[in-house]
Amino acid sequence: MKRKKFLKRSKKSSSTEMSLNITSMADIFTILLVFLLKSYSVGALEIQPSRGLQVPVALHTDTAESRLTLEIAEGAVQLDGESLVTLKNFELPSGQNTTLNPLAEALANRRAALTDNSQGKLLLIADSRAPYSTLEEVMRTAASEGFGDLKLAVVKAD
Amino acid sequence: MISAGDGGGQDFELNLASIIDCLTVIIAFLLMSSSFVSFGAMDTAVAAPQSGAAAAPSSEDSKSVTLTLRLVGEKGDEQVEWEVISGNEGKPREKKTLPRAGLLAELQGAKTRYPGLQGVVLSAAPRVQYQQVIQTMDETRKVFSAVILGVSGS
Repeated sequence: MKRKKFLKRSKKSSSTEMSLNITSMADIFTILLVFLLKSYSVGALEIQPSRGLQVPVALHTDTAESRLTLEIAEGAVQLDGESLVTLKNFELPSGQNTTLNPLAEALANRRAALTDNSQGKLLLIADSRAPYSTLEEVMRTAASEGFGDLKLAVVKAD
Repeated sequence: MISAGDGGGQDFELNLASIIDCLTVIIAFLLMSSSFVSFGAMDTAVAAPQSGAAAAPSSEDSKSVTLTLRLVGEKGDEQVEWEVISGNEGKPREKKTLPRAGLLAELQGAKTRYPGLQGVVLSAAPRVQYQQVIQTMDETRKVFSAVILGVSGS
């Protein structure tokens, strides 16, 4: 008797078809797609900082352009991805005046390759924790090799 | 469901399931490939001795005035050493130290006091972090568009 009742009930419940309302789901997906396409940032500046490098944040930025990149990370100074100077916790080895010579040589080579006599242009990607003393040394070297025109890479704050 | 009832009386239903499949794939791709970090750049120059004449406001112009800012102090207790130098004067017109919090107001005041003020040279003490320099530069650029970075000896 009980079994019969159960079978009856289960028959009843299976007859009520459940259908998922796909229209509203499609609406949600469309909205999501529009939002993602709008926020899809083909960033003003296409750069690939080294792993672990914290780019500083700024509100006001200028027009970006691709340039020769000079990167100051925790362990090295890199020119266009080529590691030239070793740093220890963002610091240059003390007491060595020739530390930045490889950088100076590389910049001089790049400068010589420039066809016109215009000032060399650099994009400086430095870690936000780097001390100004290191930046100062690197910038002085760059300027002395004719790369005084700088753009500083920053993360745009919203 | 979308139906074309007004047509020839032939009702049809759009298969939304396949559309949803496409949308899911596109959304997954966009979520994976999009970077939500947007990079920008700040224009500047190095006021090194070699390029200083070109980068910094011309010192030959007697009317030109240069504002030199030097960021000092620890994070959270930053101060700015402020110096205004006239093109034809050896000694500074103004020399003071102020808290960084009050920099913007001072810069706005300087802009009205010195119409010939062309640009700002910003430098920092050796231990000051780059983020602090960028923040100060960002604030200075609200008032003066030309901010160049000073290196010692410039």
